[in-house]
Amino acid sequence: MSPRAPGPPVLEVEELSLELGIRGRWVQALDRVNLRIERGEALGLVGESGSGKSLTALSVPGLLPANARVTNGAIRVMGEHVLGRSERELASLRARSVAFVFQNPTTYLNPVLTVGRQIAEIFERSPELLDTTGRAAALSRLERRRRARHKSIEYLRLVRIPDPDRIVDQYPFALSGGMQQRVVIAMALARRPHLVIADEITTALDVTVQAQILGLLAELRRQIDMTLLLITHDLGIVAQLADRVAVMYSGRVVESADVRRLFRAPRHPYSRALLLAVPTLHGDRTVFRPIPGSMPAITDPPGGCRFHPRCPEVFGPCAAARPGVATVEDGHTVACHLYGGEG
Amino acid sequence: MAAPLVARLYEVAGQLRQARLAAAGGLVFLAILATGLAASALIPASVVRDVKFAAKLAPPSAAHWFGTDDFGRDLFSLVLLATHLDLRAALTVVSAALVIGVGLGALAGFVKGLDEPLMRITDVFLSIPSLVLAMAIASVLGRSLENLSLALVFVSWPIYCRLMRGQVLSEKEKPYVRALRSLGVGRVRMIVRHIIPNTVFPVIARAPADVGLILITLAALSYIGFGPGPYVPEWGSLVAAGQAYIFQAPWLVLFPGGAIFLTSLSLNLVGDWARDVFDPRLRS
Amino acid sequence: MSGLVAYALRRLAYLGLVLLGVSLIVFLLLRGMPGVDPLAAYIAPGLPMSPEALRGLRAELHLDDPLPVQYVYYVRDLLRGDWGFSRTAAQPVLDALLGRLPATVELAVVAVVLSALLGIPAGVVAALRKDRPADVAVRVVSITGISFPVFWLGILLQLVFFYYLQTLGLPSLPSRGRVGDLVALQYPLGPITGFYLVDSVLRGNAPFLASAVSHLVLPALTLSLISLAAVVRVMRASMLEVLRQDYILLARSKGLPGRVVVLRHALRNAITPVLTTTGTTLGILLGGAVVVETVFSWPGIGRLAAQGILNNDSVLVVGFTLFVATMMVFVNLLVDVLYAVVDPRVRY
Repeated sequence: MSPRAPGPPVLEVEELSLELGIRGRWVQALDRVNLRIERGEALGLVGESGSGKSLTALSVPGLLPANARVTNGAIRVMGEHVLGRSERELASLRARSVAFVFQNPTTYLNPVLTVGRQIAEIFERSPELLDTTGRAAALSRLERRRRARHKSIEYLRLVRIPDPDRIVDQYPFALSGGMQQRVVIAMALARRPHLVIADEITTALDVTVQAQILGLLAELRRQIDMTLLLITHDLGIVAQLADRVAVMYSGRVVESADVRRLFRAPRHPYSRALLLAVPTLHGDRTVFRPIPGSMPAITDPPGGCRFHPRCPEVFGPCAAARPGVATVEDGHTVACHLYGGEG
Repeated sequence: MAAPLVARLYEVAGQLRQARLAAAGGLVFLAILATGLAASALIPASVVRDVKFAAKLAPPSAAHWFGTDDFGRDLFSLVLLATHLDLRAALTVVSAALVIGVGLGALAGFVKGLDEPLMRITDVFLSIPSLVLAMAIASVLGRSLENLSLALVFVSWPIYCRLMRGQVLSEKEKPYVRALRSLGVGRVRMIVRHIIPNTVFPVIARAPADVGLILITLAALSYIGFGPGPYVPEWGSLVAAGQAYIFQAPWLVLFPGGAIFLTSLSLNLVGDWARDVFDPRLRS
Repeated sequence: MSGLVAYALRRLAYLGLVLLGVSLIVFLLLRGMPGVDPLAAYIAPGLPMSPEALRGLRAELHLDDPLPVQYVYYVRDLLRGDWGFSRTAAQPVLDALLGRLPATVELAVVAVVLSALLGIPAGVVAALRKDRPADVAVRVVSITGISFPVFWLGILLQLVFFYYLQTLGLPSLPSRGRVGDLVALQYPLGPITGFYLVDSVLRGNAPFLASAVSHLVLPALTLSLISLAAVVRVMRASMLEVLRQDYILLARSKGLPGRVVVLRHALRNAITPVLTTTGTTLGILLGGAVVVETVFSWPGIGRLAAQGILNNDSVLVVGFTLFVATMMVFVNLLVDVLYAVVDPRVRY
């Protein structure tokens, strides 16, 4: 765990509520989500498909789909407000501040441009990245091109791509899935962003490649003190990489804690069930403990606490009222009636 | 990022507009078709020989709504009579080409051995521009509307064949086909009740627009000189005949040409909408 | 770049086979049509020939041999450059076509360039402003364009820009021929390539250039209409498809300005279907050239073919068909190679 560096939190999401337009109706997709990431920290955002974790992540750089609208809340990156900004200002934010790494590298790389070109255009957009002495504007176009290419190769090397001088001129389809994902990570790092958001970046990869990418991320974190928002449904990844964890269910953050504390003593029934649901070996047999039922469709949510139909500890107020957020320990919050808390 | 509601509004308005335009186009076409049928029944064919040199090249008037041509014949009657001829020819051509093309295409899709040779044949046909090939065929057969139609059928079937074949091939790979097979559904039943209905509609959806295209090609070939002669009214040859007097009597060119344009436009409006509705990519 | 060369050679071999197929069709049209006497095409009507001459002609054309043998002779002759003799042109067919080819090519090239210059931006704008007024306007123009009979458009343009402008006393655009007769006499051009635009520039013959350009305007505009509508539609549809892709989202997430995203990322991917359409539209253009050249009395291969039809000159018409098919094949080859240049995935 890296020591806390001074300065504003890199990311603050405050009471973010969001609606999606589905088949002519607005349905609530995010319900007062709160997140906070300090400098150098890695936050794991965990949840099943449909929990809202990707939507939360996409709202930070303003890349929400056309049918989404924010109804409440604020997002601040390095202390600056993000919501309501114009597209140009958001473009600035994306270029230097927040880098997004997507899930499936194959479809996210432009097939007709070389790898090097796709990295170099970052330096085209922000030439100040090329030059440490502050005289970026004075460089000739040719010089800038040369340096951009040089830097691209550097970043390819940083993400452990073998033979980067050759790869830089290759087209994406010539690379394996793992290499493609490294390229996308390189594109993120090249911007020297304050925050890297990684959205299920290993889900589309083989298990062995997955391990490599995760190892790379761990090493990079040590090397360059990266601030990371890691989105995943895989608790193993969280255990490996994250400092803190936030668990999401059906559009709400139900628990948020230090990673070791969450794994050792989860408070929210859903978090507990998630940890129990990881298959374990007991003697000769694998024990499966699935959570009964399934996540509700956002078009037809249950009343009160959204988890209550599946909760093993459901009681009185659960069906009627939405639970508030309670602080059970320093830095550990839970949204459950069992712990009280204010809405 | 545009407000999502506004974008959706525009999209819905667009779809509505397209549907309404298609409906309007359909109505116009049916009206033209009806006019053609009525004309062939009501207007005596002798009009084409109704030569009255005294009244030649008269501008539109109450007596002659479209004016008269260089033989003094009533242009309105001629244009209406031509409607029937042209439409009948175009519809026949497209229907025949559809039947042949869809049939052969389906065969190519289902019978392994026929696929390659049929595709090579269509390749060859498609490498010659339609107008040129139609010209060549018609010039060898002799100049008449029937031969022209025959030539156009030859020229049009390959595209339908290819389309149908492509559709069949991709439909065969769909999971539901395999699922039905594993349930024991017979081959013939599968083809007739499942595959054909799912594949033939996108191909047929092209027909309206193609009728418009064939119509224009037919008129163009007539214009060049393939036409059936001054005693058989046809829109293209009417325009050709009128071009010599274009400055003194522009109506000779405006009305027949306008008829072609109007018919083609209405067909294209319908065709556009039909293609969008039956677009295989939009159907999951 | 050897991948590119190998690809080009592969395509060439395949297209060679297609041409062979075309030659077969053309041969069948000429010699194999049931009920049609093949000799008829070679005899001028009204010009009686003695029986010996007829026999000699039959022997020369190998008409007494079985069809497959005739076909072999036919292909051999084609490859040797003997495509028959055209009554209409009073020249060997191949010479007649080649001589008039530059006129048609010049017209077609200008038409294609016009339709690309107008059509590609229109399609891009329509896609970016989908369903908004700009898009609607573009689509209206596009559908009107497709529905317009080409020959009618040519005639109408003549009416307005030639006849009516003249009556108003304004300078008008010419409606016939490639260059003014007077200008050709006063400022004769020594041809180099056969393309008037190129040659007049090379020779510094300004009046000729001006006249040639003014003569090109109406026919090229008419011809470009055909492909314009197709280009706009394909460009728009392709652009819409590409804009939905994931890599566009990534490009936006890099903070790249919108213009860069559209031009560099989207357009490069979206343009490939337009290229392949150009290949097919060329075919329609060549067909349209027959009509347009007739309307404007443009001395190209299209008008020659039209005259051949009126003259029952089957040898010429059939030769024209083969010629056009050959042109199409080569253009398609060019388009395929261009496609491989733009989209690197195709080369392997």
